[in-house]
Amino acid sequence: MDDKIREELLKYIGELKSLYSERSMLVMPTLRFAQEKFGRVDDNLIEEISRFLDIPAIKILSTARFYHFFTEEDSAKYRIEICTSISCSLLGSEHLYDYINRKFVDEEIKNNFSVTRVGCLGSCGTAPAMLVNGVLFENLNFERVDRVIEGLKSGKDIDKILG
Amino acid sequence: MVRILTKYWDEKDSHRIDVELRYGGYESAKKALSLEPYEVIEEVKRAKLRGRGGAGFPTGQKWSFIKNDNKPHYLVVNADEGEPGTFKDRYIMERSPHMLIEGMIIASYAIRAEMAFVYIRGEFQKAYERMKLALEEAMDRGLIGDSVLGSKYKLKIVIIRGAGAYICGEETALIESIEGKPGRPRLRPPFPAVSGLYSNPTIVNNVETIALVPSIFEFGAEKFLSFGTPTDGGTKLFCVSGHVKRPGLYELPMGTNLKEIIFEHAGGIISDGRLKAVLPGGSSTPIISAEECDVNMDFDCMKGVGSMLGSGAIIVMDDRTCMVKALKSLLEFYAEESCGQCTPCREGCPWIYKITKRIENGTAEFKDIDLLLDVAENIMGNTICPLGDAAALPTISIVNKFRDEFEEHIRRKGCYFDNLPLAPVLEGRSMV
Repeated sequence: MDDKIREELLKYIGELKSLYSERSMLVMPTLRFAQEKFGRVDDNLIEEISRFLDIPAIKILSTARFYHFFTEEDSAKYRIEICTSISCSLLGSEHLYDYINRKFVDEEIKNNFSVTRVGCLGSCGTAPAMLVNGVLFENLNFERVDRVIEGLKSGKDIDKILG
Repeated sequence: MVRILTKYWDEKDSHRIDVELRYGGYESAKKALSLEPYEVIEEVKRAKLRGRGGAGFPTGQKWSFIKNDNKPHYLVVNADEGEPGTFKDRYIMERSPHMLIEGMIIASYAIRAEMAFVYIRGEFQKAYERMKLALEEAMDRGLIGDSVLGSKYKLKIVIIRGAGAYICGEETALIESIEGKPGRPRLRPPFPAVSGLYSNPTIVNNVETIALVPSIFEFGAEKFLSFGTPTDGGTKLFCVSGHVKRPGLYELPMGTNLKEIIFEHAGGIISDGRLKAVLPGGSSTPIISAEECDVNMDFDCMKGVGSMLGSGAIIVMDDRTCMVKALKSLLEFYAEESCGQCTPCREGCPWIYKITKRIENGTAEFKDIDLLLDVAENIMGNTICPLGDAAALPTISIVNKFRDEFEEHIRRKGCYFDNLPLAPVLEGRSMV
């Protein structure tokens, strides 16, 4: 385990401790911090978190593996999550899913992107919607999707792609 | 028409404290804190505020379950909005987070809690940032903290963020999650009001419910009640999505007619098509056909047509919609989101999803329709939490009301509807 990672974790937990009245309340925030900061929550990280919080590693592990957000492996550089729940699907989000997948047949590009179907994103009034690395894009059509993906490929700030 | 939750949403920076204070923010909390906690609860009872998360339980009554003991009490605001079709709580947190905080002060005071939580769905980035900013603003101005609004009452409010599990919207799963555990619902009883977070008395309320509380003290219980129906006080945020010309969020009196919402407020069906069916309260409520839509949207009237008000998420389908495909989309979600704790749900949800998929792709037999109903009926009522029912209810209602479509799929060996086109509604959306 990298000393720097250890340091960052310790610092984060130290800052949070005064806010929460029980140690176990720190589990979810700390796992999230680790996932966002290091791109994964692997066994090494779980052991560290276990040590810092003084909670058995097996408990941290069972929590980490329950939630979709926490991944054992490094996540792709760009994670595209397309809502295929009912309201988005009524407005054709299945087409988007196919369209985006077709765009990534080229292996090289594919390695940088992951495309997944997800449940409702709470954007039903502005459907269809998708997330890219957690940033929400709404009212999608093919043209807007093209702009998002071109923006990603040219390394634009995700927040600013559609202005 | 009165607007409570959305009254200043058109203002620039409506999420900031200055706007909130300009509109009389935190005055209701001052009023409430001048009363005894039991008097606050009585006022909420008289206002007939019912829980907006879906179950419609009377809020004041829920609060009165908290005993006057020496244990720590907790308020937990359920902001893990994830029911497909629902997007009201996200907007409340993004547009008027201070209204929620003010409601949390009143609710916490009423149940004698000194610590309160907002459990925000993991995917909601902007809502989280704005809630966080609003809490900092409220702390800086002494509205919460060691002396709430200059009184002797102490209140700490913290945010916990979810991590992508729909099940955590169930109140006991949410409590487990705050405790750092997998979000698996607990057996009830005991109910959270008796033994909740860390086995202490806990009240879990929905965002919209809590955000409405200040207005009870602003207008008084009688006036608040008059905004709704005699049994359901206040206004309701209706989330309209699907095949309407003006999808979006509408704050209307509780009990507004469903047809009026779809055809007047939301502008009617896109491309002037015909209404086919509606999921009136989110994806887990029984479907109603076009003919049944002349109904008032409140908790009791919706029961009358065999459905539920749920979260007030109105999902509209026009006559191009394939009901088998719609059901498949619903079930894909529940099959994925079952927490796996109870066998009927863990096995049943993926099973009914697979059967529906078979019907849709033309590899099913006629007997599969009854199998689908049979499995769904055996999920109902046989699980710890309502997630299983949430999958079974729309399944049973869709199959029963549109059985001919299911049979036709089997007869024709596959779907005979055109795929619905990609058609975002770019004009005429409403977020108020």
